[in-house]
Amino acid sequence: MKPCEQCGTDLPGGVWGTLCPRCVAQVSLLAFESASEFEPRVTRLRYPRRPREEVTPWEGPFQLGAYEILEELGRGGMGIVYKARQVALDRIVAVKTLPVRESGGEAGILRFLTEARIVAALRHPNIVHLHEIGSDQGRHFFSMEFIEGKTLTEILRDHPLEPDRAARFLADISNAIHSAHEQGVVHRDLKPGNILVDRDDVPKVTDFGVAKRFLEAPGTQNSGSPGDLTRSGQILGTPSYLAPEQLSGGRAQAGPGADIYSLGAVLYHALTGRPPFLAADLETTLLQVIDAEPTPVRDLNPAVPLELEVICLKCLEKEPRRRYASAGELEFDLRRYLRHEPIHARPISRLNRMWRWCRRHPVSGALAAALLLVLISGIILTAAGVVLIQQGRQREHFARVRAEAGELAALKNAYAADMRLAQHALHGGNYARAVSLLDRYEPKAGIGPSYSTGPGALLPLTAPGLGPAPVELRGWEWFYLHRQCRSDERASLGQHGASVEEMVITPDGRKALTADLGGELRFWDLRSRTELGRATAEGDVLAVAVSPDGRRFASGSRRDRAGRVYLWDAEGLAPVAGPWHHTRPVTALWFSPDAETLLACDVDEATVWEVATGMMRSRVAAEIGWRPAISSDGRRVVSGGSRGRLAVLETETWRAVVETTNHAANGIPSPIWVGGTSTVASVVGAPGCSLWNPFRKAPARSLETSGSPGLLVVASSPDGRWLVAGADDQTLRVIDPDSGALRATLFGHRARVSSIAFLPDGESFLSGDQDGALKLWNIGDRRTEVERIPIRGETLRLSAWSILSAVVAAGDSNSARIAAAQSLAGSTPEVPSWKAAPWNGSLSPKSDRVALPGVDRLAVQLLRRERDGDEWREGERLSPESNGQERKLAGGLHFLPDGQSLIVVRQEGGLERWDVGTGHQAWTITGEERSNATWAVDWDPAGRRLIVGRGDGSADVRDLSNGDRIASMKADSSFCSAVALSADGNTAATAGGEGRVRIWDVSPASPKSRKQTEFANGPGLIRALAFSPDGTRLLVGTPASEVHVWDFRAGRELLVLTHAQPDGQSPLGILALTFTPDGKHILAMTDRELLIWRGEGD
Amino acid sequence: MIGARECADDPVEPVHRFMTTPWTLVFRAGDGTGPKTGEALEALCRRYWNPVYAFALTRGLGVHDAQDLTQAFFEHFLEKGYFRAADPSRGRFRSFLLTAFRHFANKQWNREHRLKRGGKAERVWLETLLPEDETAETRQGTSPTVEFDRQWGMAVMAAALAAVAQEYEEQGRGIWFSELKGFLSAHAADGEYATIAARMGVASGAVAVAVHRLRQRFADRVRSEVEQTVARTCDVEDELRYLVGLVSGR
Repeated sequence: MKPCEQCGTDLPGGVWGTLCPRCVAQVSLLAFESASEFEPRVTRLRYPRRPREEVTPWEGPFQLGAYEILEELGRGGMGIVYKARQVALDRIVAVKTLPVRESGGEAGILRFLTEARIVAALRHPNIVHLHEIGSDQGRHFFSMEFIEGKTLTEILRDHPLEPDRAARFLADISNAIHSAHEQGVVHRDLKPGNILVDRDDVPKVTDFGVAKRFLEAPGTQNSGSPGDLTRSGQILGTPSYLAPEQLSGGRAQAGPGADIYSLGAVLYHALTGRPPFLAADLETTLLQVIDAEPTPVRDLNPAVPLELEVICLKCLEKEPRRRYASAGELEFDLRRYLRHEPIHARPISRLNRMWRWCRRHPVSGALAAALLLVLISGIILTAAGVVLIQQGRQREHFARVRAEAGELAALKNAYAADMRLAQHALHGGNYARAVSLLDRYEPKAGIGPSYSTGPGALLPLTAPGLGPAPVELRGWEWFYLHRQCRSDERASLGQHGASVEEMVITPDGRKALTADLGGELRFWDLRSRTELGRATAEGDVLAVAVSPDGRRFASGSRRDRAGRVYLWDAEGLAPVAGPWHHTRPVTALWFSPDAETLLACDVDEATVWEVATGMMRSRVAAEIGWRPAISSDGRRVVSGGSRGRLAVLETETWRAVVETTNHAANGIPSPIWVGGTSTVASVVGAPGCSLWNPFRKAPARSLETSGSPGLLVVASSPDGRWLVAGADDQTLRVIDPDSGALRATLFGHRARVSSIAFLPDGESFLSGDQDGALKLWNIGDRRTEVERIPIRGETLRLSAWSILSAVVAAGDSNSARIAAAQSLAGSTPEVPSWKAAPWNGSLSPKSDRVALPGVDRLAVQLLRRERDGDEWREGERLSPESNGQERKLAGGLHFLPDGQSLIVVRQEGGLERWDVGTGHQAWTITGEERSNATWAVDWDPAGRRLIVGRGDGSADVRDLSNGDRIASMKADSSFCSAVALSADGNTAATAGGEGRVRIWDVSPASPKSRKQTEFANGPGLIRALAFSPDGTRLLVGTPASEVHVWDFRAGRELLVLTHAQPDGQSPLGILALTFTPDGKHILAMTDRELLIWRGEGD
Repeated sequence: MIGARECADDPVEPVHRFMTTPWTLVFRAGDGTGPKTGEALEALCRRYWNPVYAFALTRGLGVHDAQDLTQAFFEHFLEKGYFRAADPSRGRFRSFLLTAFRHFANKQWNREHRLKRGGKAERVWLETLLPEDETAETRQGTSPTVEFDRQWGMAVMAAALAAVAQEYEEQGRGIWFSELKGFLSAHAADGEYATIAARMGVASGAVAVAVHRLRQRFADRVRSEVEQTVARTCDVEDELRYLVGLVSGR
């Protein structure tokens, strides 16, 4: 091997020839790196990267001064942190160094030494302690305490902190920061990443990298003083946690108040799991920090106590003087909260909040205030009043445009973030959270302005934080998620006025008796879902029972301290007998099989009543205990006692035959009989439910319901196959008692479920919640996120003219199959083998014709569907004049929306429009060469304009009537793989080899097609794009078979639609993508299946 | 609405050139059914044969053993559909290939040599193929993984270089490429541009621009090669800097 003349490295030869890879890398790649050629071509939608110090990887242990460097712990903005051993003292320390090639230069070293000096001056148990400053062969470093533990960022990655833990952390940190302030040091970059939590759960502040001595008098500063280290305009630190005055004001503003703000931001993140302000790009985040009110903490995490929200928001005040006067005061309030004492900070009233917003937005604010006044004084908005306000609006319009744009951007950001959170919550089974996030954007009758769509019509009238979003922000993704949140219940039965505590279903499964805490009993027909009657029992109803013949109901209740039993006729719920008196509240009832007697239990007596006469047949003293349950044969009673006691009594003797005291956790179990007589299931709230067979010598078995919060109530199917438990997150959990496996989580109740009863079929059940809602369910019912229709053969074309006539043409080299899904839920009939090249066929809008390229690929073969049938027969063969030149069809045939015209793509890139009826060519555009071949085509739904993406990366918009070019654009540097045109034909989207989606203004008013924005959607080649019919959303199909939903104007990704691919990933991903014309559903096609995500309605 | 796949039956469609990324190659190879398997194997071997071979060498294998093992690795596992396990959504192709090779080498060694030769001497290099030995440096002073990565970087650059050469050729500017490619590795000496300008019949400023464009195009191609081997866009920068850093020796 020959060595390189320049660097002496051996030349590899081969494709390199006489070139030396090392020199090439240095000359052609490193040079371009420094000239930032390697930077992403568009950085607008991304946070700028921090400059990297070194490319050299970890080289292994080395010596640095008196330290043996052991491993790299991390790299920050200003240096590398290593784990090291201080040889002389044989202790493990952390060593922070500047990189060898000091990219920061003199200023970098100064800043580094400044940090070291500052940290060295601070001594506090919650500040990482600095040992020594040194330098070794020009490499500066300092050593500090080594903290074994995690950063707060790492801890918060999974979930927010429990409120008390967050308060404790922040109190400790505030104390540390207060002590730093007293010594004249402001941290200026407090964030979760700079807080280490050690093994004893003690938080410690580190990285005073941008700290400065704020008390240093200007006169004492020399040229190298830290105050000069921050170049003007350069923002150091992470914007999400920086105080507004650090962003908008000068450095002089960034006093201790800035740290108090950052402490509040860290607390906010710790409580909610996200920083107070975080948008997809830096500019918007900065705008929000300066101008927007943070979302109240408890909107994001309702579990946070009000006091902490108040403390947090006081720190996050925009004006430093409104915050705590010192970090010490903040600590004081946090400690008071931790001791359950009243805090000093006062909540900001909504009015006050709005007033402040108004001051920042004088014009819109005045309007909002005016509107609010009008509403408060109860004056009905007359037409004249509305006109007045509208005139005011117009006058102020131009003055407000800027403020509104910012406001709208903030709203859109919040909306985008909330949609992502809602999807995440749904995936995590947190139904209540998802619903509350979605509810913010649902229009509420009587509140807010009229709702309008379209970008020009958005006029925010109320301040953020005043309630539901003032403008319509919702798009397809909202309706999709809303549908996902839609309950699983089969039907809603009705509504009680209070929490439904007891219910029973007649043996024939047709009727139900439900009772609420207010003592109201209602009687229902389950088939017609109508109410048959209602009655009121005195006191709280604690037990209900139905006679085996279904003709009589019994209710047991508590009035004062005594108990009563009533008997009701099932017809119309008329009282038949009672009250029969007990000395204690009646908690369980059981009819004998012949319906002659009724067994009623209270805590220490069992009474048998004669149903016909109301005579007491017997009354026995028995230690029954709490929450008794009578077995279906009436022979046993199981009941709970304090400290987890469960006892089984025989009703013959009323003696306890089995007893267990070590049952589950503390608290009184609520037992039920599983499947009647043998096994007992009991709930005692968190952690869940346990199963116990009293007649076997096995301990109670706990049923793990993964991720489930506490269970409150449980019911067993009559055959014992299923348990259904109501959880305190408002869901119902269906559990298989044999395996303990969670079979399903059912959503639908808007409050905690308080009672459940199975129907005799063992699959259906009725549930009631604390708000009084009654719902009917079936265990077999599950909601689907995505519907999938498998496709056989190689799929080529998706034409969705409506949800009911989406047709996929599929084929392989020997046959064409047209899977015509007349109803997507139904079958997919096929056309048997057809002698035409099946690729790239197209279906007409009425689904009555298919155009296929003929076998010779010179003509077009039509297939016609027999009237409304699944039979297809051969139709005309269209072979227009060839101008003496044989130009092959490249396969691209596209029916236009009129159903009469075809767009034909020629192999060499030419385009033609044919009339299907006559075969006449309306126009022809000759292609130049194959590198210009047409790769992607789309048109507007009205069939006026066409967009074509080509193999050389160009794209054209053409007038469909004559083929004239209206606009052209350089869509991509290599090739253009996907195009889409909005419904109005004025906006185009393109994607190509660069992997970037670009949005273009192609309206006739625009002189040249202008690129509006662009964004990266992730790796890989995008093959499908689609606009929503309302022009607000863009769909991007990925090679990973995901569909990304973008608010492309705001540059926000709203949702990612995925689907499980158990057979491995489809290699090409999404090949075609469309909204149904009504905008309600999304259809996508891979090479294996048709995917349908349903939004609104059916 | 409708994506690019108009010419699926046309094998010379330019799309294939762009889509022939290592990851898609793996897919095609993993599919194992199509007539393209052989093609895919060839392309895959051609591109990443060297890094794997160099890795085998640094682990102490002789030239012939290393060649055999490398060749066997690509053939055997492509035939067995081993690459079906590849999941481009996770990690980098580079790491995947190295892990796969280690795994293969280990098994291969066990099977072929355990009975045939036995003894302790052979066990030594078997163990050096194991990742646990990673921190130990070889006699040359580089860790085998780093050497693999460096070779990988060179392979990526070589692919980019070939692509640029082909591009120039296709655009009828092949003569320019052969005139200017030397400037990819060296800055121009005084008067060098003027000499070329005279030879090519253009102004010397045009030569400077052409050199700049060539370097830029090359850097772009390197970037797009790297893009093909990582799962997420955000990894591209890291990977690029890492590889270029290794190859450039800085």
